[in-house]
This record gives sequence, C-alpha cells and structure tokens, in this order.
Amino acid sequence: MVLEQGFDQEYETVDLNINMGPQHPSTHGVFRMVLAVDGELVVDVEPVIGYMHRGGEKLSETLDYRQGIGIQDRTDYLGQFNCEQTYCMAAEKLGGFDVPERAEWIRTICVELNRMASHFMFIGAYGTDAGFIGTAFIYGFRERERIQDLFEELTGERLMYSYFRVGGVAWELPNGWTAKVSNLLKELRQGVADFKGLLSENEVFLARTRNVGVISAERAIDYGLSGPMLRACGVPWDLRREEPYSVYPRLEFEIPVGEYGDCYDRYTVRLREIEQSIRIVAQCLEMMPSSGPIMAVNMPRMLRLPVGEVYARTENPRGEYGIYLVSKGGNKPYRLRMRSACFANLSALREMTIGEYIADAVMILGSTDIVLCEVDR
Amino acid sequence: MIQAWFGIGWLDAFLRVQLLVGFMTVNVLLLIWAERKVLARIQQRLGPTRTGPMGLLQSVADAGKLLTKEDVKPTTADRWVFDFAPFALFVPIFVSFLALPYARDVWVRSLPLGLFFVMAIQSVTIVGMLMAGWGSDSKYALLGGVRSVAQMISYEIPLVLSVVGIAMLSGSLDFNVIIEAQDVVPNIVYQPLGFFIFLTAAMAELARNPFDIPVAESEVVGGPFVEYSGIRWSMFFLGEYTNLFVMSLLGTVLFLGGYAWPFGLDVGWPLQLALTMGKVSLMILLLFWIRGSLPRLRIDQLMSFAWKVLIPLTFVQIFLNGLVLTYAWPKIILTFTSGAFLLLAAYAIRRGVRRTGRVPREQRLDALRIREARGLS
Amino acid sequence: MTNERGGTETPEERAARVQAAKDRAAAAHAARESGQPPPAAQPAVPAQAAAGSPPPVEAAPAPVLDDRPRTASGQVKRDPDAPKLAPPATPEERAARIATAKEAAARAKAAGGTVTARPAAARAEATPDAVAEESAAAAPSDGILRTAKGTIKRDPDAPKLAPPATPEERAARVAAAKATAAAAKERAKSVPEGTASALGKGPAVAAAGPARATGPSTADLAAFRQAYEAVIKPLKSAGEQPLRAVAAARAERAVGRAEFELTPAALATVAAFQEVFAELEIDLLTSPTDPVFVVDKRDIYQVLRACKTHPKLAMNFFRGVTGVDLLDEGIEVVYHLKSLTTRHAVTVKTLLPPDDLVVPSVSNIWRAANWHEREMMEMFGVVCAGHPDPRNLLLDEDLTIHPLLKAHPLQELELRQGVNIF
Repeated sequence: MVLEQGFDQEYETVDLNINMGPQHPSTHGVFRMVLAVDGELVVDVEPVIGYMHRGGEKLSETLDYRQGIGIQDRTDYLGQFNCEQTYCMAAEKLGGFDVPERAEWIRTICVELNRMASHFMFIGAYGTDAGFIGTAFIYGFRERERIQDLFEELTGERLMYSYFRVGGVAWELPNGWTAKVSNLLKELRQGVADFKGLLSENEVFLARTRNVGVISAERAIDYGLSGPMLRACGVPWDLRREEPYSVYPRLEFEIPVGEYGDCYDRYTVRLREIEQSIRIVAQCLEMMPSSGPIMAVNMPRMLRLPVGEVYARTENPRGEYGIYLVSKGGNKPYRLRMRSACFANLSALREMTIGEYIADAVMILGSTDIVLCEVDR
Repeated sequence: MIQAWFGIGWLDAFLRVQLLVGFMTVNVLLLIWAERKVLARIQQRLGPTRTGPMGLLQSVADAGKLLTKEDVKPTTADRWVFDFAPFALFVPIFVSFLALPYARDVWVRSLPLGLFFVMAIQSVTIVGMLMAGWGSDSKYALLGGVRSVAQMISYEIPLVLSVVGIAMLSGSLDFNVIIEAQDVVPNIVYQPLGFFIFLTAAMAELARNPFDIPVAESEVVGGPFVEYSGIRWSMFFLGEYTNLFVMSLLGTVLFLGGYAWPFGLDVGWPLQLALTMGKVSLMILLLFWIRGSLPRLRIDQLMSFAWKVLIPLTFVQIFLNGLVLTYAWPKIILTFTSGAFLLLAAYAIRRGVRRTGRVPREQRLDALRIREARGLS
Repeated sequence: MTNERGGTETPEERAARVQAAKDRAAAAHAARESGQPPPAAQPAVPAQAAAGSPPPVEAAPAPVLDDRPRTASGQVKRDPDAPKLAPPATPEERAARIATAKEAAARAKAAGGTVTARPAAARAEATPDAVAEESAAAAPSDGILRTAKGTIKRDPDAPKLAPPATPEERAARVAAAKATAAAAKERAKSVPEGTASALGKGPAVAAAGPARATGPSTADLAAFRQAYEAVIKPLKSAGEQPLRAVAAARAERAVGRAEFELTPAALATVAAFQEVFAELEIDLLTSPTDPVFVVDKRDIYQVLRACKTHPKLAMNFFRGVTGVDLLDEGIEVVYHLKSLTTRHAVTVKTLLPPDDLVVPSVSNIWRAANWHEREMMEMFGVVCAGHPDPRNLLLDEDLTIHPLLKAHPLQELELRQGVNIF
C-alpha cells in the first residue's frame, strides 16, 4: 500500500497479487491461478494452464487405433472408460463396425461405475476444500476404492484401464463379477446417504457454497459449459438423452438439474447423478444378455479406417467429451482432436470468480471438478 | 508444600513451576497423539500405529525431527519481530497456567483476581500471531496474520462476556470461590447458553476448526506460521496445544465444577486431580470431535457470527443473570431461560443459513462495481 | 595422427594393422571354403595399448577368435576335458544305457526314421523306461522323418533351400542388384525434382515388409532406400520441406473419401442450412455423425455469425475449433457447433491456403471460442484476426514453433522411427 502524506488525502492502494499454484494443496492438479485481490475481494483472476500438456493429440497421430486407447485413459484419469468409449465410438462410426450387444452393456456398466467413482472423488475433494480436514475425503475414497477393486479385478489396472477396444471390449467379464457389482450397489447407496448426512445439510457447508460462483444459464451456454456445470444452471442438457448412443435409449433414468448455478447446486447435481448411475447399473445388470460375442465380427487385426472425419461425443462425468477424428486411410489417425469438457469449464472460471472472496475462489475452482490432464491433454 | 515444610516461598513457587513445565511438555505430546488418533477414527483411518505401542511415540519422533531441522529464515524477515514472535505467543499461555487450579491447594499461585488475570493474559497471544505474520515478510503470512488477529479480537469479547456471567453467579473473580460455589450444581446447568458461547469463542481463540481460517491449510498454507521451520515452528505448535489445555481447563473450572463437583471439597487431592483431569479430557475430546466434523467458516462469516450472533447472545445471558440475581429468584429459572434462548439461537441460525446463506452477488455493490469494471455483468 | 578412439599411432603402424586384418580375413575365408578349421586367434593388442589409451577396436572379419576344437561345420565341439555334467556312469549303467538306446533306435528305425544322438546330460536324467516309453509312443508311421522324441527332422538328403553360392554366382547377383538400383535412380532423375514417384512404392513396401512371407525383392528395397534417403536428408534451407515428395506421392494414389448416409435429423439440419445460406457457395460433405459444410474463407465469419443469430439455426453451443494440417493444401480450420434449442449439430470448415493463414476470430460471437482459438493459434500458427488475447495457452509464453504441424522440428526423428507420416 502506498500511503500519501497526511490523512486528509485519498489513499492510493494497489491490488495485491496472490499466486495460487502450480503447487498448492487445493488447486486440483498442476494449475496456477493469479488472483488480484482488494482486501478479501477478488478483483481479477487469470488461470494459467499448460503445465500438464503432454502433446496427447500429436502422440495419437503416431499410435494406431489400439494403442491410442491408452492415451485416452491418461487424458481424463477419472473418467477413463468414458474417454475410451468416445474414442472407440469414433473409430467404429467411421469404420462402420457394429458393436455387439453384450459388449455395449458391459461398456455401459463400466462407464457408469466410472462416473460414480469420479463423482465420489469430487465430493471427497470438495469437502476437503471446504475445510473438512480429511473426513469427507476418506468417505469419498472409501466408496471409490470399492469400485476400483471391481475394476482391478476386471482389467488388472487401478487407474489406466485400457479395456475397451474398437469394436467391443477386450475380454469377457470374470466369473461372479456381475454379482459383485450388484452387491456393491447397496453399499454405494449407503455411501450417498452418508454424504447427505455429512455435507448436504451441514450449515457451515451450506454457508460456504450457497450463492457462491453463480453463473447464469445463458452465460454458461456461451462459455461452452457442459455436464453438471451446465445442469446446475437449470439447463437439462445431457448427451445421454439428447444424442443417445450405446444402450442409453433403452435405459430409464432422470437428469438431475439444479436451479441457481452456484457451487451448492453443482455439488447436489453430482450427488444425485450418483444415484441415477446406480439405477442405470441396476438396469444394465438385469437387461444384459448373459452370453454373447464381445467383439464385432470380422475385425481386422490391423485396423485401417476409410478416408473421412467424424466427431463423436459422449457424456463424461465432467461434461461433453468429443473426439474429432480425421483419417486418411491408414492405420493411425491423421488428426485426433480431444474436445475436453474441463477445457471449456475452466474458461468460465474468471466469470464466476470475480467479485467473490479469496476463500470462495478455492470453492469455485473445486466445484468445476477439473482434471488438469484433460484440460491440457 | 515447601512453604509449609521449609517456609521458603520462592523455592516452593520455583518447584511448582518446574513441575508444571514438565507436566505441560508431556501433556502436549499426549494431546498431539490423542488428536491424531481421535481425528483418524472419525475419518475412518487408524492414525499413528507404528512408532511405539499404538503410535504413542509419534509425537516424540515429531519433536525430535523438529528439533534437528535447519532454522530457515527469509532474508528479508524483520529479525527481532520474527525471532521473538513464537515466544510472544507461547509465554502468555504458559503464564495463564500459573493461575489455574487442578485440585484444592494443587496449583502454582492462587490469585484473588485469577479469572481477570487469565483473561487478560490470553489477549497477549494475539500480539504474537501478528508479529509472526508481519515479521515473515510474505504475502501469505501477512494475510494469515491479519486474519487471525481480526478473528481473535472479535472473539475475545464473547469469551470475556460469557465468563462475566459466571463471575456474576459466583460473586467473585477468585477461582477458589467459583469452584466452591459449584460443589452441588455445576454452572453449566445454570448457564447452558453461556457454555455454548464460551465453547465457540474458545474454539475461535484456539484457531481450531471451524474457525481455523488463519491456518487454513487448503488456502493460505500455514497462515502466519508459513515461514517458520524447526524449533520456532514447534514453539507455535506447543503454544497451540497448551492453549487447548488451558481453555479446556478454564471451561472445566468455570462451567463443569472443577474439582469440586460431584464429590465435594473434602475429598483428598488425588481424587480431585483425577476428576479435574477427567473433565478436561472430556472437553478436549469434544473439541477434537468438532474439529473432525465441520468444515471451516469463511472469514467474513466468522466475523459476522461473532458480532451479530454471539455478542447479542452474551448480552442476553448477562441480562438474565442480572434479573435473577437482583430479584433473588431461584437460580433454576436461569436454566430454563438460558436454555430456551440457546434453542432459539440454534433454530435461528439454522433457518438463517438455509434461507439466504449469504447475500447474493447481485445485491453486493462492491462486487457489482468490480464486475462492471471488468466488463462482466 | 589420432584414430577414432583417441590413441595415437603412426601411419606405418596403422598400415600394418590394416594389412594384418586383411590377411586374417583372407585366411579365414580360405579356410571356410576348404572346410578346414581357421587359423589361430588374432595377435595381441598393439603396443600403444600399454601406454594407457584404450585399445583400438578391430573389425575382425574372421568370426573365429579362439582355438576351441570345432566340428566340420565350424561349431564348437564339446571340450573333452570339461567336467561332465553327470557323474561318470559305472560300466553296468553304461551298458544298460547303450542297450536301451539301441533298442529305441531299432524301434524308431523300424517305424521309418533316423535317430539323433541325445546329449549325455539329458540322457542321464531320463530313466531308461521313460525313454523307451517316449520313443515308443512318439513313433507314428506316416512316413515323415522324425527324431526319437517325435519332432519332425530335416531330412539330410533333402536339397538345401539355397545352395552355397560360388563366387561367380555371388558376383552376378551383386551386379544385377546394382543394375536395378541404377535403373531406379535413372527413373528418379527423369522425374521433376522433388516428386520421386519411386517413393510411391516406399511406404507400402515398408509396411508390408516384415509381414510378407517372402520379403521385398532387392529392387524394391533399393528403390525404397533411395526414396527414404531423399526424404531424410538434412534440410538445406529454412524453406525446404521434406514432405513435399510424400504429399505428391499421396496425391497420386489418393483414395476417395468415404460417403456416409445422413440421419433424418442431419438431413433436416442440411435443409435448414441450405435455406439460410441459399446464396453462398457451400459444399456438403458427409460424416457418420454430422453434416460437414465447407465454406470459403471469405464467408466464414458471416456464416458462423448467422449460425448463432439466425433463429432457424440458433447454434448457441460452441463445441470447439481446431485445425488440420493438410500440408500443401494449407490448414483446414474446423468448427463444431451445436444448438441446444433446435438440436442441430454441424461441422463447418474452411481451408486456409498456406500463404494466408488468417481467419477471423469468433470470440465475440461465442465466449467459448476464446481458449479454443488460442490453442489453435499456438498449435498450428493460424492467426485468428481480432482475438482479444492471442497469447500462448498451453505452451510456454516464448515458444514460437507450432507443434501440431506435420512438418515440425522432430519430424525427422519420427521418420526414422518408422512412423506413418502420410
């Protein structure tokens, strides 16, 4: 602060620049946020990204359609099956391959379980941002670990699954896996109830998240927000309903929608999405054929796609994840563009944060549920 | 003791102080271990298990590590302020130990103005925090220091006023008299509202969750203590846990009957000591429990809670006390009225948070001005 | 004068060393031809090694470096002085073993095969009974030569796959290869510079090489190597692009774009588009998911703005903008749009010629375009005119290369790694 001489003159103050990150306990990943603050009020915020940029799109041009699935896992490491599914869908649409039914059901179960795992982790991390020193975090991870145990049994991996293939899935489900999934659903329902008791009705949490980081529906659409960020603003837009793919036309589920577009609504929407995902998985287990092929017929060993382009998109836990694939007839993509949901979600950070307090900046950032690897690819 | 045996007053005092120092050191080690274990159990973890039986030697290991750490100091730190701050924080807390009673005749000095002394000395620790924040010459430390000073000054008032209620009931500021007045009924029965206010204000004074914004780990990492390392930082830690014990002991003495309830004054000092320690442990456990269960309040929410909720409630309590004492009504009336106001306050807080939470951004002129300047609204 | 390893030697020493190596090679070759064991190992390291410098490594042409006893074909014979792997058998055991073996051999021979000698070590483990059972069970009578174990044995009387070439034959082969290579070079020279059509076979050969059973022919290999070298030779100037040859070759064998059937929703979108932009020239391509409209560079801004503002289209959801590097043709800028109200989904693209990589920025139409355009600008070098904040987004602030272009600084490395570069 630069004070002028004498008290009868105006104070001339400069804004304080606070740098949060790239190493910081509450920026979820390697992300830097430069806040200009006036006292406790945020006057300007500049998000600086690119610390996790690994050239995923360039790499994908050098990997064929089976190797490229690994890159998709590593792009959104909390919605892995979703990204794999988008990539496989893009290749399947361009190549004209029909995924057999059992494979589609298996894919949907994996995708919805993954959505639940991602949302549980979000809630755990969000509680930690709010100031629960670890209680909410462990609650969230307890449920997530249960789902990850199932995935480890299925794929052998805890995080980078690489289970989907173009044309189906890589191998058949292990014996007894579906029984374990349906036993797990009861425990997950209890987990959601635990969170409702811990966070949703907690006065302090309500005070921290209500009316914080509000964004209107028009602005949200203009910024390209999608997923729970958009649904929290009151826009009932879900790609599983609007542009259905896989077996979603046959499933019955609701789209949770918020009202005000604040942090609390984003949290609630995700919590209710977990419940809907439980419902979806239960239906999948019932309706899935108990045997059948899991890979499209006549899939060549070295897949070559015809010349053309395709933009395939699915509903990621974070929003609309799209793969724009341009093929020139070879066994590798000519151009692979990953339209990541977090990239667009993060671009609205400035809009949501200016005019809020510093402590709110952390809460808003947490509510966007970003995965920096997806933002930077 | 020595006074009685040898008549040497100063040696007696010296030995008692030494005893207290030893007791305090061991106590802090045990408290740190207990906090970690209790918090872990609330969070479905185990806490320290490996160092020593049940992890009891964990604090010893931590202490050893802190003592052998290099004393890193920012070069631009204000040397004397920076060096002296830990002591400015710790010494007043220890001095307030000297006036608190553990059992009849088991204390260092019995002051006729004991309560006043303790309250006054507690305020000096605030200076220590400010010195730490300012002397570190770091933005985060300064923010943390300023926040903590604001919080502590605000919560001194409800703390002292709730204690005034007790002084009114007992008619004296001498701890002996206060405890003897409670040998049949502890004060908490007559002052439930006062106890609630005291507990909340004590948590804020200790900078514990939900009021730990000065040391908020997920935001301004470490608060005013961010630049300290090694022994200096361990002094702060020591101070915090000693203060925890002091506040709990104060609460026990003032509200839970100290060593007098329920067995009266004539029981031997070992039993009284054990009783005191048991009650202190209960209060400490309560504080740990609250820490693990609630998220943290934002600084403006903290401040408005202190000034707009707690202080009016203390005035209500004092007014009720005054009424009952002036007209010599039976003190049981206090129980009902005070309890009724406590329930009313709880209901009002709950409703207030649910209905508005916080003023929406559109109604805050300062936020609106900033957003217009940035072209956002 | 120093050699590669840093030691010093006089020219005479070097000449002597070279001559000694040549002599050894000739001797080994002669020995191989005549079927005798080659001469003894090479002489000791020259004196300069004693001075402390690392000894010069000789590329010894003769594979034989020791004097171990060898069989007629050059394989190392088992040293009779080496310790035996199994304890020496008593005479009775040996007699029993021999008898069993003779029995098995007789049986096998009766079944119609020859017997190879099994190594002593293995024989010591197998009991005579097991051996007898094994050879009895594994002796089918289908006329194929089999070993005692039952595996198919190569008939020693069968002709070799390729007879050892005499020096004359070898010389003839080399000459033929040289001729083909020269012919290919002639062909390449006759074609205008920069478009080696010989490369048309290159990638196909490379891709098919390891997979084909017979392997590429020598002429094909020579042609590929020549074309490959033409591609990876170091750049002489900043403007030289190594990919021009590839682009031309690809244009020669260009495959048509696949056509897809549009869904009814997509057809409705196409109809709406055609209605709104009736007077503009817009090409329609198909993709499995959306219709793709190719717009001229001059019209792209008004098309995009109309996409958002026109009530029939109302594309308020900007999915993304990206670029595709089309080498000679330029860079294609691709916009993906969606309408949340009318449910239209389109892909709009425009081609920027390589000398004019400027496209108007649409950040003032959709706020979402801001970051997508920043990323496209830094990755492709396209300039989005009018962008409010054209800094690098993901890359370092001071980085000026454009990584997603096909001709990028690490492209040579990719070629060497055999990555398909199209």
